[in-house]
Amino acid sequence: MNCLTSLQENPIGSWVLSSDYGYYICLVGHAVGMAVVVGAVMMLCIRVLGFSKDQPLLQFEPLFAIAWAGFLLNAATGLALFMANGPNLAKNPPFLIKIGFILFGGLSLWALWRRLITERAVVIDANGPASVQAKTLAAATMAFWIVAIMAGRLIAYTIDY
Amino acid sequence: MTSAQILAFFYDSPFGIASRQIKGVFSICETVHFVGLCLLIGAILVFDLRMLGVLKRGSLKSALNYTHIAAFGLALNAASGLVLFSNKPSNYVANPAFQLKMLFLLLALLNVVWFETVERRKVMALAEGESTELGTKMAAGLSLLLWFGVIILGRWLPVTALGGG
Repeated sequence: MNCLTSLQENPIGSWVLSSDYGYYICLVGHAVGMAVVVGAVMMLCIRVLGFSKDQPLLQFEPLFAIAWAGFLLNAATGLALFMANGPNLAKNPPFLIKIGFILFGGLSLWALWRRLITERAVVIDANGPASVQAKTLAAATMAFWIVAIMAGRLIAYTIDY
Repeated sequence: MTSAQILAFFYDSPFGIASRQIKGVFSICETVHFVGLCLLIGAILVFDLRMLGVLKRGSLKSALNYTHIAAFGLALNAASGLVLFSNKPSNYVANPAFQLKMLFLLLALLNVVWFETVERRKVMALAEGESTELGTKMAAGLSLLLWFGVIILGRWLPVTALGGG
């Protein structure tokens, strides 16, 4: 855990820990980033599941640039928060579950997008219904992100400082 | 009804009692509040950016379907928010960030009323390929600003809360 402790002494970790607002500014960025990335992902998933069928899937392509920006904001603030409390977070079960489900959510989203490209002729070009596989991936992606949010919220109740 | 009575009404309501006495109710409502705000923000990104012309594909009408998802997310947040508020109403109303959040929420809801009563009809009347009018774009831009403001202020609540958040 020595390297995690030393993270607290780097400028970002110590800013989050000892400035008046550093910690809260990171929390705000983390929430805004989450809203953008999870929100955009959910809209894609809901569309794949059959909502608003005349909405072209390609509409989500520019939205993905915005989702990436949200993800980067979320990851950067998350990293800063981690630096401030690495030793405790690394042994906090909800935190580990959260990170795991973010990975699952990302992988499943990637698999969903690949699936949609495979089904391109139907779902993208003709705005037709997605396959059961694509719908399953969409539902799983949403579920993974919701579990990640849930676990993230539980960190506040279980973490030591 | 005095303001103290109104606060006591929320505090003594089943929501307030449950949030204080049943372990997990408060944190579950926090999670629901977060999921609801993701749905709301995701949905407004689709239709507000479509109204603004940042997103260009598909009909304006199909983008407006997403207002239903925004309404659903908002309903989740109103319900979970009511429980969170009833936990300690007097702390929330005394919190400047909460007061400002409620102001932003009110303005955002007024903007929704404006959009639904005036702008939606104009959007529906547009022919395919036509872009939205300035008023519609203003409502869409305000919607993004105000709802993001609500979230930022909401996450700022612990900073200005009495006795911590």
